[in-house]
Amino acid sequence: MIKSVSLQKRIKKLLVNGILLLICLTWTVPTIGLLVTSLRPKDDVSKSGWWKAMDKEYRTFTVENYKKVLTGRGFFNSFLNSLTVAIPATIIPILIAAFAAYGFAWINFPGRKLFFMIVVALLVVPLQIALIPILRDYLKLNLNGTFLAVWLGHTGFGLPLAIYLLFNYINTLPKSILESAFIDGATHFTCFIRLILPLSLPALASFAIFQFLWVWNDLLVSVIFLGVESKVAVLTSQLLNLIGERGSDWHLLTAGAFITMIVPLVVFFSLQKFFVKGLLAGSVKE
Amino acid sequence: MNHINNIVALFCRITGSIIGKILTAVIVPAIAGFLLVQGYFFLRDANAPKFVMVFIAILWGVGGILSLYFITNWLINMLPSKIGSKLLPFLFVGPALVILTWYLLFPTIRSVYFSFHDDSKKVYTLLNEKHIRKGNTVIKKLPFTQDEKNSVIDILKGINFYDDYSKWIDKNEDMSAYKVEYGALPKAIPEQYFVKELIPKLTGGFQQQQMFRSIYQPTDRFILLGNYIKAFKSRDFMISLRNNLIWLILGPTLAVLFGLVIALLADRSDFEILAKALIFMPMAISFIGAGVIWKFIYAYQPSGENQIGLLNAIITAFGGQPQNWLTLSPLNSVLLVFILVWMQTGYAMVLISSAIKGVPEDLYEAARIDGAGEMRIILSVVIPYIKGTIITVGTTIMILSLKIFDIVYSMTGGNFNSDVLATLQYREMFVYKNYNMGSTYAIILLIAVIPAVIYNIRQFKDKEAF
Repeated sequence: MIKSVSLQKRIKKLLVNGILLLICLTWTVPTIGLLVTSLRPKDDVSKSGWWKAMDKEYRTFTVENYKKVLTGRGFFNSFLNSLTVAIPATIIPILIAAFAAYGFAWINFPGRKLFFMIVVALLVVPLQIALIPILRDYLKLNLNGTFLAVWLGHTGFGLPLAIYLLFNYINTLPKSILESAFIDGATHFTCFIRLILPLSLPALASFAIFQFLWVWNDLLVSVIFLGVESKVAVLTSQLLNLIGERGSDWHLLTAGAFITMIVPLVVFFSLQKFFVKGLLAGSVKE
Repeated sequence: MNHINNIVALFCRITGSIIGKILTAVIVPAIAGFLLVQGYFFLRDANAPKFVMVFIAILWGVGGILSLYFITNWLINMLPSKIGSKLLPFLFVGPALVILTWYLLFPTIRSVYFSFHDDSKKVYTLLNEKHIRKGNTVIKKLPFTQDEKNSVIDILKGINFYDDYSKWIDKNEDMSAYKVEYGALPKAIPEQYFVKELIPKLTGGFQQQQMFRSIYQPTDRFILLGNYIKAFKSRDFMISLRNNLIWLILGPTLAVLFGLVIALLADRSDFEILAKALIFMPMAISFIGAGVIWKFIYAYQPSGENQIGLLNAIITAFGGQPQNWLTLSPLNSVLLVFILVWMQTGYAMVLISSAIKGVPEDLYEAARIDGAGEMRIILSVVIPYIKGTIITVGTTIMILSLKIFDIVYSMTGGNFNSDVLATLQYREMFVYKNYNMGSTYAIILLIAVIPAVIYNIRQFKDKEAF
């Protein structure tokens, strides 16, 4: 009896692991294709599929593509530019959104519902309609081409989702914690800084990863507000240059795409532990 | 977080005394303001090494925002508590509202306004007014006035009008006599030249149309719902609407479903972190990178040649005919949705997985004691418990699907009937310069999402606050 139960368990485990492995492999196939392509010589890429890289005919691998990309003009500089854009453009919206989420969740004030409704509705506004009006404002303010312009842009476009997600988390923190804090004489401000922010750390970290990914991989906003000059160009716009004049330099583009992935993955793994109690962990309590 | 706590504590101690309070009220904002302004000019003009710039930029951006909050709070605390407590909520939501108003709300309102206005360009209206029609046939053409001609010429100056005019005059015997006699081109544009040469230039072949559109002069007439009616009558729009519906249904459903299944499996597997990392990886890839990856999957070569697209390679290996996948509508929209699902499942999985971890152990215990199997537990304990998360994730991916632009733009450019509202809007606005029509599409998108907004507001209703 006991034996059969443990056997059943083992089969179940095997099944779970097997199915998951299958899904994971399917999910990774495109990325493997990217990796293999980035390691192949230019001619092979256009002649045969990447899965044929192990065939006798095509079995040549090279790191030449990576070398070319890494030593390319302005690559390192654009890497720094991307960091300069991405770090504040991640932290600033989260900070502002956390304040706002707390305000909407726990402070009663006239217009609270209306304002929140507007925030949720703004989630869907395509940022393309805002680009030209904002660009005009920037020209008047002499802000165009500065990092501040991009930070503010990413903040504006990222805020609705940040507020929406952080609100869903902060909203469901137990009321009793706040009540006891207020009895002890805390103000909303100290309550937020000392209690809510630390409690929301998992949610903040989870959102930080997503915001960082969006900003890091963004092309449109930085090209329009910052420009494509090599002094300020970000990695994605550098990546676009790699496609080449005839759009055929896929061997370089794949190598470049792989290099750009490294930073987001490092961020993901370093913040991974927060996912244990992640962005919406609080929102599930009914 | 500890640092912030320390800073707060420090500030509290300093401001314990009244003198400290007054001092901070004046000095702190002054210093902070000075530093922020200096930082701004430094960042705009300086030529320091890149590393230094990056560091200062980050310090300035993040520190600046934080200090603004602290200082405003200080100032509010100085005020009588009655006024202070009225202002306090706006310390929290104010900055967000200001930024949102500037970056999204105003542009949206402007778009609503634009959407009620006409895009038709001066010359087009001019032509329509000059041609008296009966049904679709022009029965009488009125001559153009010199003013009207000049307004067209103003537009055409950008495309070498004078060269063209001069050549035409030279070709025409009567006119070249005038040129020789007066040493100049005739100021009154001959009707013949205007109608036969200039007008076709504006309205003729596709290329001229493009050229003209880039130097357009919109009439911006108020036409109320004219643009909306035009949209619903156009085939492109209806196809985009259909495609958006495909995105809207398949995108969130598949991403949430895969995210849920993977999260549940990973929770019970031996390689949870590895599995999560692999599923998450596509999120880290930029759209440009993803575009290349998926071109290697959907690429097409004629039958008999070496296929470099994985999908066609598999199909030909089984003896099938290779297909040019991205040209087959409406299948191409479905294939493009897979790219979104591939990228966004990681997002769904991360959030759902963290919610699953929040399910209390005793709920599992109770279900097991009742004799429920694993499947039963998942369906009637886990899923109801994480319903809120699933709705939030579904809503965000739904909105992402509605707004989808990059994938379609980089994979097909909207060709082969794969357009969606966002690509349609982009093309109207930035390629054809039909700003009003583009705005109309954006507003239709906004209207389409109202049900989701209402749903999310309802959860706000019964909420108590302090």
